Amino acid sequence: MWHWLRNEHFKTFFSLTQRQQFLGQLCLIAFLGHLLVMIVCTYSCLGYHEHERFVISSKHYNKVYVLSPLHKKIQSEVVVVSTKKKSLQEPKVINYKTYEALQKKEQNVPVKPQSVKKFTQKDVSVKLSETPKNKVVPEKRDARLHALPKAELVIKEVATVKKNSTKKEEIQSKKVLNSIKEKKATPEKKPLAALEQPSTDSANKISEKVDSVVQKEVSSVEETIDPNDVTFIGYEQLDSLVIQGKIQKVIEQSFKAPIGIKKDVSCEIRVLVGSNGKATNSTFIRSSGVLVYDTCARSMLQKIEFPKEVWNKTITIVLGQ
Amino acid sequence: MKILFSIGMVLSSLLYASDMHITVQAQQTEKIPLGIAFVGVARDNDKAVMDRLKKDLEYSGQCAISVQYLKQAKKAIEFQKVFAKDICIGLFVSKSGEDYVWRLYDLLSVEMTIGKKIACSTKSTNLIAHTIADDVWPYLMGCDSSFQSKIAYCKQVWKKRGGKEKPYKEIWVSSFDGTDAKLFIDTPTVNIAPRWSCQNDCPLLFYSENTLSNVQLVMSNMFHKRQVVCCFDGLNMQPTFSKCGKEVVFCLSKDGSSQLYHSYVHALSKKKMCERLTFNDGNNISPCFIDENRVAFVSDFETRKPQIYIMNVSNLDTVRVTEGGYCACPSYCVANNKLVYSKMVDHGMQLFEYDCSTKKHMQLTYGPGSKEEPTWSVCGTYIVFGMNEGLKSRIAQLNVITGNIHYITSVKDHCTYPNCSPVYDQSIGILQN
Repeated sequence: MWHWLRNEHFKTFFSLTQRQQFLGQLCLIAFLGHLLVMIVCTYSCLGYHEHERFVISSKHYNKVYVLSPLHKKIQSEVVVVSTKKKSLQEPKVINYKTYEALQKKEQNVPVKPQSVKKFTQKDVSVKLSETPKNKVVPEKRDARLHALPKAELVIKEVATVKKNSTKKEEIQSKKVLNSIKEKKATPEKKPLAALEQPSTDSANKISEKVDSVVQKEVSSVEETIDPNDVTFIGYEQLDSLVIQGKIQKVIEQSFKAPIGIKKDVSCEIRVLVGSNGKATNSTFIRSSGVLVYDTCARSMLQKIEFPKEVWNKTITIVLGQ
Repeated sequence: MKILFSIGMVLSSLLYASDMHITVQAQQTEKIPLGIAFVGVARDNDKAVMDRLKKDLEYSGQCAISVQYLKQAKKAIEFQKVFAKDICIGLFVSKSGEDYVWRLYDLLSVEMTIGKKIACSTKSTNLIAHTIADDVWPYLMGCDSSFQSKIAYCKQVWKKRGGKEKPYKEIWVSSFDGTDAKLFIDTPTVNIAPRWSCQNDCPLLFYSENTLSNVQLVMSNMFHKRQVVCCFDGLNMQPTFSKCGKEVVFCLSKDGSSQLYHSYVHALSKKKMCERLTFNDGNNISPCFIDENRVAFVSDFETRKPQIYIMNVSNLDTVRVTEGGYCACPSYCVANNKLVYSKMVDHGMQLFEYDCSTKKHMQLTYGPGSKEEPTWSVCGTYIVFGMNEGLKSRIAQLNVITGNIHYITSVKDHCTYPNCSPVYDQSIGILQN
């Protein structure tokens, strides 16, 4: 093997030592191995297109999504489907911690978040400085959450509430520290226990306040969310949800169904989106059986411009359900 | 190396490009622009057909029609240029000898969806248009239509008899939209409560006729030939027919109060049977078949106020559908599995529907005027009813899709008891209009 590497002309041309030859061979083998693996993977994946099915029609406006940031995808979508009737509301995305807190409250278990434990002065300062980091969604996700159309991002509100509350707490703690300093500065000598008293009191007060803040968050979220009727999603699913939200928005703006068509009429169309965002080809996977509906759907798809995320991609759209 | 890198990038982008599956529901609705074109030299008759066809297709408020006349047949590719740009569906009508041919085209893909030839030797222009509309509608809208259906109703007229003016009631028959109304029964008496037979191959009209001794049930074919079918003492009226047409339930008051009777042919003995269905001291009226076994009717035996009941004809089990109030005149529609009835709301009757599958009631009409004697059209799109405002009574039509109410009789006429016919296989006699 590799006779050409042992060729004298090759050696003289590149003036390689034996060690260099060996290293070159190693690199070449590694490169070819990688290339081979890549080609095999490509061919195996070309035949397999993953269809991500997300139902984001008006029926799902009431849905509450719980983001589990450690998962890409979560298979078991709906935990419990409640039969309660709700008014048409926008989808919400909440973080897992809020969901847990809600669930605990639902089970009549007193909510004890991390901040409930009694803090010392140091603990409080550390904890308070940490709270902004404890934002449930990473900053990268925030942008996507903003992009989610019509979605009321409870998660964001929670974070801002926390931030505001931490500022207040910091001010509060500063005041307490100042008061302690002032007291220390006073010439009157007091027993040590008496000196320690205000600090523990203030810590208790702060912990109570933090507790109340969390309670506030939960109660504000709780008003609209039923913890038994939520859908868990991973971060990849959140990405898809954002893109689909955009597409849905575009379609909803331009798609006008014919008057008087039955509510259960639907059609499924495969659309190839071109590099200019326009549908270059649309084929019916499943016709609705109603000519006016099919024609309306196709003419609408020809008119709209798809969001950039799906340019040069094939998407399947189910209109109506 | 650069080439290899770029190949790698392309391959990785290919891997990333996965299909996406999205479900979206329409939030808005609009009228569908539809083009109809007559191909060939159009005579007056053809123009009349096209005008009527336009009216028919536009009537429900779901389509906006544009009519074109083409002297010569064009190539399929040129069809898109015939109509305005926003028109995506074209209906092309032409003549083949004496017959009419229609073709439905999807103008976006320039493909013929369906076409049909209609034999028109004896048909009137209106009937040709109704037939084309009835044929095309299911392909267009995915639901049945009732353009060939007729509405029978009573009209009160004052006639001089023996030097005195007396009120009589005649039975008139009009098209599904109230046009082309024609007098059907004009006997010098009071003729009320017309009801069409349900057998598609046998168009008959039943009605009750006042005599000196009773109110007898009379049957008429489409050529005005009449026959008394039931003549007991008291009231003989309101027959309802099962889908097969072999079973009839009707009201008789020969025993005092009005009771329901069931007439059928016995399966084994092949004898005609007539059995009493209700045994109570109340009045049992307005029966209507829901399916082969169940009949909806009105009775006041329980609450002393008329309520809607559903009875199983085979075992006589009765279930009350309405909870209180004053409810009357149920009418069932097979197309949507719903009952429509009138209910007293604030000194006036309003229309309500009862969904037989979900068992839920819904108020359909509001506002002034008492809406009585509702009846479904066969397609389930319209409810025809009598609108009483003071001393005046008119026949009105409620479009369930748009919620619009359209009067189909004149203000001057006092009309009551409307009833919609099914679409019969044969268009004979009065049905030819």
